[in-house]
Amino acid sequence: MTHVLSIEGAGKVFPQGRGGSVTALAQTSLDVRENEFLSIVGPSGCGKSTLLRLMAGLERPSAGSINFRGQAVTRPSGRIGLVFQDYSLLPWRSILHNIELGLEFQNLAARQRRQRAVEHLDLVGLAQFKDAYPHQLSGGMRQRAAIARALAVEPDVLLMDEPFGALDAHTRLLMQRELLALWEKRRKTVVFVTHSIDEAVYLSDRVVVMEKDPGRVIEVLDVPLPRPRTRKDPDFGRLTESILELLKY
Amino acid sequence: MFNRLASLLLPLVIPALFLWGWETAAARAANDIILPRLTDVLAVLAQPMQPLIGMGSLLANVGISLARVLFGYLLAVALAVPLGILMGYFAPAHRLLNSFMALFRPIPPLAWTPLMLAWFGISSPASSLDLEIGPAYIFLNNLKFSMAFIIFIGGFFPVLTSSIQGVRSVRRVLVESSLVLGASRLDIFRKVILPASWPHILTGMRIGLGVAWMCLVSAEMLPGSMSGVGYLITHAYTVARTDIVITGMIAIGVTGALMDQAFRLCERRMLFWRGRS
Repeated sequence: MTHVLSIEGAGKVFPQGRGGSVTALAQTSLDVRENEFLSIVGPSGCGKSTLLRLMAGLERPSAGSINFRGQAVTRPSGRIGLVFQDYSLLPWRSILHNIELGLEFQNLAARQRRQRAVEHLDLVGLAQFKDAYPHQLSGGMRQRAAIARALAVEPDVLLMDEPFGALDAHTRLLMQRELLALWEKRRKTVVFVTHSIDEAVYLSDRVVVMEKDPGRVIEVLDVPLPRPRTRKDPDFGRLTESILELLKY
Repeated sequence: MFNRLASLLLPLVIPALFLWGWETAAARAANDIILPRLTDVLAVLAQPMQPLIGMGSLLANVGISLARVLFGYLLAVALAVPLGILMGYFAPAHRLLNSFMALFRPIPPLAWTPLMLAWFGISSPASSLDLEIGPAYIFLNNLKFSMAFIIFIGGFFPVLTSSIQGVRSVRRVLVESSLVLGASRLDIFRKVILPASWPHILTGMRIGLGVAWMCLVSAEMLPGSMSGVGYLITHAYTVARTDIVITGMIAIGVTGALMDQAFRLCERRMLFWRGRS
């Protein structure tokens, strides 16, 4: 089994006034496998977002290292994409031009840019909204555009930080199904942070369970359920239960 | 139906009461120097092209004032916007300059008058260019450096402050989501920071223009000034023409309000992407 990302004893300590400090993430080791769908669940403050930001290169670890295909991750690059919870589209750009943004950073010629952007708009079903601006779209459509934007630069890994956290329950279920369809079509490595255990079990091959004070990984579970999954499956319920138990609910 | 009519008329109620109060008071005072009649002022306003007390027409004076304000204001914008962006983006520049700027910010523009006169006297772009005759001379000689500087000071700080603020208030998620798409530092600056701070900068420019315009009267009271609405007011005062004083005040108010509205219109056009929030 090859690993795309290896987290080797990485931890994050934030300094806090008067020489104190807060441990956001205790030293953690974790491997992300090629093409898997990995979720990270845990309560607020368990360091799951910090772990994701370390993988993206947006934070440097205070200890240990993050390796991407054998090379240390020291800063963000187009190779590891990240989708935020909301409002990450540039509000002054139309949806089409938002999706072209990353391609501009790659200095792609205008025609190829347009072609690739349109292709990804189609992929997420937003073709007819290409000229709309972010404030004119619903939360679900904005997230679809954000996903298309991240995929357009063709990263090796797609990190997602509670991407459906700001959506209503109905839209959320729809988006989960769409994301899975996308993932099956594109076969990309996905690391998905959520605080919904149900969402994690529904989507993932493996679930990383985290605890807080200090933020740390307490368990990594396989989800052996066949796809397409249904929440009626008794194993689905059992797995959800066992994660709840791990988190002491 | 009634509601629409009422809401249409509502903004007119106070002005109508004000004008009625003015007219009543003027009739009772019966003294043109203390308070001229509404009709006297309207008569002056009705003929904006007519020469007044040997100073040329109202419109010509408003034009001269506008040219002066634009001269000082454009200098202020040209300096304050880049400086503000630099200070907002680059922390060492902020540390280097901010406390220095904080000392100058509270000084009222008018307080610079004596220094400005000592430095610039009545020199103008015309005297620097050694022009002594012709229409260009007449125009340029009206743009005294001393006045431009006072207007400059008035416009400078609002634009500087809002440019700094604009850059600093760019949401982190916009920067980070661009970084993970592979943006370089220059990309971030050009494609995220600049457009994102634009609304703040525009607001600062509008406020700065308002302040610059307000500095006009004090700037035009400086020696060497023979024209402009500000000078028109002070001159009309010395010859006891209160109706022209009030006309000048109205012209300043209306011009200022029109510039502000025009600016707001541009802002709304350019910032359509902000939605209605």
